[in-house]
Amino acid sequence: MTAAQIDPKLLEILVCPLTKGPLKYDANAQELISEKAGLAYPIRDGIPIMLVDEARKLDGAE
Amino acid sequence: MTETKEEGTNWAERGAFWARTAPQGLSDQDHGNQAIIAAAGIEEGDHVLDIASGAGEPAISTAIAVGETGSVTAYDANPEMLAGTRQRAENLGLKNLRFEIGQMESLPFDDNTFDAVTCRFGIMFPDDAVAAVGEAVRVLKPGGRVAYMVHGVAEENTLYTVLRDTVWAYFNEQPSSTHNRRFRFSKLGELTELLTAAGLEDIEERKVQENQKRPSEGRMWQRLLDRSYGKRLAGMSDEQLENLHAAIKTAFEPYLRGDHYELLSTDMLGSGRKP
Repeated sequence: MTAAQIDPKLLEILVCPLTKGPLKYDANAQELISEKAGLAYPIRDGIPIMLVDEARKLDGAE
Repeated sequence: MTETKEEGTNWAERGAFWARTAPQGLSDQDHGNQAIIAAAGIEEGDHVLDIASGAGEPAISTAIAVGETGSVTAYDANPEMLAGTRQRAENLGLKNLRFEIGQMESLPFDDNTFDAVTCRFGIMFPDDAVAAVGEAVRVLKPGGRVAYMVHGVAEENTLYTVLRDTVWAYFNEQPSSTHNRRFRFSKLGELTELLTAAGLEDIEERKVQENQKRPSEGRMWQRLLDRSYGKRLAGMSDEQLENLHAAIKTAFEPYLRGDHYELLSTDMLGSGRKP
């Protein structure tokens, strides 16, 4: 399981590419959540995919 | 926009090619990597962002340079590309690399995060290159340096030019505007103009030239051929492929020096400091 874990130091410096706002790490869903953008960026195999096209729209987001 | 690539713009497909054709461990392009590392002022312990890392140039060389107390964040828009870099890092036992996918025009990093930023063969791709450099400047710490390497002019890149002309002749096609983007910023002064527009200071720009030796045995052009024309090759019969390789071999004959080819390679290296 450790192989798929995201590097904690990477989490510290990451922001939302759209809003440059903070991200919340959801370890269970393996997602990085930008409340401001209403997007959840997936983490695949330990690598954050910070592409808006690949992100999931949060419920309630426009 | 006059967007074109050698063939197709499908970086996922090209990424798979690149990953397959990347060196297994240390770089065979270390000459250029070390020039970038020096221009960016990278030292042991630095935390470096490598944009458009691709198959790992110069991320792998940089990870070795910064050592265990430093780190390299390898960043690319294409997961298939970074898969190759990750494999190389594992082969070398490097533990100070991190990986992330995203666009270079909108970096997902906080302001003033990195000691240095590098980018080898990437800045010619974004439509708004000034904005892309601006993003690199934003995440760079004040006083830190960013270094970009791009291809030098075609005439001073023997491997590329001979291969290109031979492939085009084989398919009986004329050179198109396809290659414009590859050689964006290839003339001396163009990188300086870009970096100045992005607000950098203490800008340096120079040619990095090398007479690369490639073995006469085997097909030293195979990797570039795959990377540049792989999709087209996939539709060819074995016989057609043999003919193409024979034509390429003949075209490189003037560059044979005993048991190796000698090929001029020219890149441009531009760097600047964040105020």
